[in-house]
Amino acid sequence: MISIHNLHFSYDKKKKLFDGMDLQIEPGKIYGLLGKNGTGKSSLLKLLSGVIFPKLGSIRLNEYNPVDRKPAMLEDIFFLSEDYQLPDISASLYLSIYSVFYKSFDEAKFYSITEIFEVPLGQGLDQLSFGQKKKFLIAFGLATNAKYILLDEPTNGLDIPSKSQFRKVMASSFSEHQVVIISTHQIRDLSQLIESVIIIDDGKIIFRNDLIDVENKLMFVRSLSNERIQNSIYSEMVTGGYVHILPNPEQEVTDVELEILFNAFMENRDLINSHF
Amino acid sequence: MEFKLSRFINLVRRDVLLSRKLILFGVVALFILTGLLMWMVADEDNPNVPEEAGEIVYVFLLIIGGFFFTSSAFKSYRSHPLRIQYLSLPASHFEKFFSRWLYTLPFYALVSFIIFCAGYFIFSSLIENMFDVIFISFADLDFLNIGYILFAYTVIHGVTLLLASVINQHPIPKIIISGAVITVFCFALFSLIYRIIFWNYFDGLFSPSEEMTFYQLDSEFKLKMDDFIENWAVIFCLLAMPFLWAISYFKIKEKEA
Repeated sequence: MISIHNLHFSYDKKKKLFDGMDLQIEPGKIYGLLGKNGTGKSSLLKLLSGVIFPKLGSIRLNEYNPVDRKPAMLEDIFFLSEDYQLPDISASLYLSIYSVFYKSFDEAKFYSITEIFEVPLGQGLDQLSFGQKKKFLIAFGLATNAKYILLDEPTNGLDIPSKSQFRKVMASSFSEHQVVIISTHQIRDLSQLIESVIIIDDGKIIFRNDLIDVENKLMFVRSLSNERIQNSIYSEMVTGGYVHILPNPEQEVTDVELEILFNAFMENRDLINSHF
Repeated sequence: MEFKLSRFINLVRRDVLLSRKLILFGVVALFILTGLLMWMVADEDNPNVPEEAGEIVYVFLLIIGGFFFTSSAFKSYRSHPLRIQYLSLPASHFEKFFSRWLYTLPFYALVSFIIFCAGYFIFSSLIENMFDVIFISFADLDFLNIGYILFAYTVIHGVTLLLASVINQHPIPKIIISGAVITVFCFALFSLIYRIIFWNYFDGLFSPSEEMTFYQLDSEFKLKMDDFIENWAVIFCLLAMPFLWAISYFKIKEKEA
């Protein structure tokens, strides 16, 4: 369980990034962290992993305060930052050096994920491409069996087959005791994976709901004409027509289009929130 | 403050394996440096190499080499991704601090001493045969002075480790500049205080008046005063070092990516 209360954070005094943010995150779900550039998605993940500290307020990861960076807590967190650097060593040496720090590290799981990802382990890590390095680190992170998996733009730099491999790997290796938070701009890549959405804007959480709730309360309808459908909350032109968000009183099942939902929030958050 | 031996061993193992090429290069470089320095202190015109030659070589090896090594102790802080990886590595702050302290102080002092001993034996006989000079035997070296050099290194190490734990990028030039600024500031402050307290012994800003040379201290008192200053300098340093180490530990604790 992650509990954030009255979080204040800024890199400089003039511009506050988080201004009294509150958030509760329960285990057993994959969360999508969405927001515009510079709204603090990466910073929130860094705050959760304890590599930067809040100016005010509290963050708790179960009984731990990330600021303390207790080894027992660090064993339970895997944070994949958007920019990363791997040492000039072999994959097996990397594994032997770092896996010992994680009590629940599952070597078989690591090898099985790297096999799915088709990461060549026979060569030095510095020889791997950007995407291969990222897949290597994702495999390592998932094999740690950490309770909190924090991934910052994990699909950036991955090719098309790798993105689908990533979804497959995440879905198969995720367990009920874990919390996975994925910060991303590439919503379409991960829309089938994400179970709950968190949207950050203006230093606060403006939306936090499970996709099943969104599905029950809103309907996403595609139409060819550019005429607004009656009762439409939001409409957006897409290739081949329009997508409309409508209230869903009958609880009809439609696929949630996360990108459209996000854009709708950016345009009129109060109107969308009034349906929840 | 958490400490778990198995985790600490894993941390040391990680550091050694990741820096194994650098360690090997460092040992070879120190050995070559010993040879070069011994060759430089040997003067062909004077067949007897000065007694303090060995100590000069050891000063370079321990203090200069140790300064560079300690300055680079926190190379995991050099870039943003490396900082994230190191700070999120499951080991306690104390283990991370203690491992750095261990490599840069006792370990480096021991390794550099072994290299110095081996280098002195090998290069002294080599240079003696090549240039017709004579080094004093290893057993005749002034080990009390070597003790003082070790003490000086411990003090310099404390300051360097603290600055290295604070500075992320380009630690060596930044520590040299910071050290120079601190030294100049301390000297200026000391001179100013001295000037204020003994104001009537100066004519100009720092030129002594006649009164300064007029009074002569009792020689016994002067000896006692010298002993007192020397002892207090040692006591001050002995107290200052753990203080500097403690600040370094807290700086590591509050380090952010």
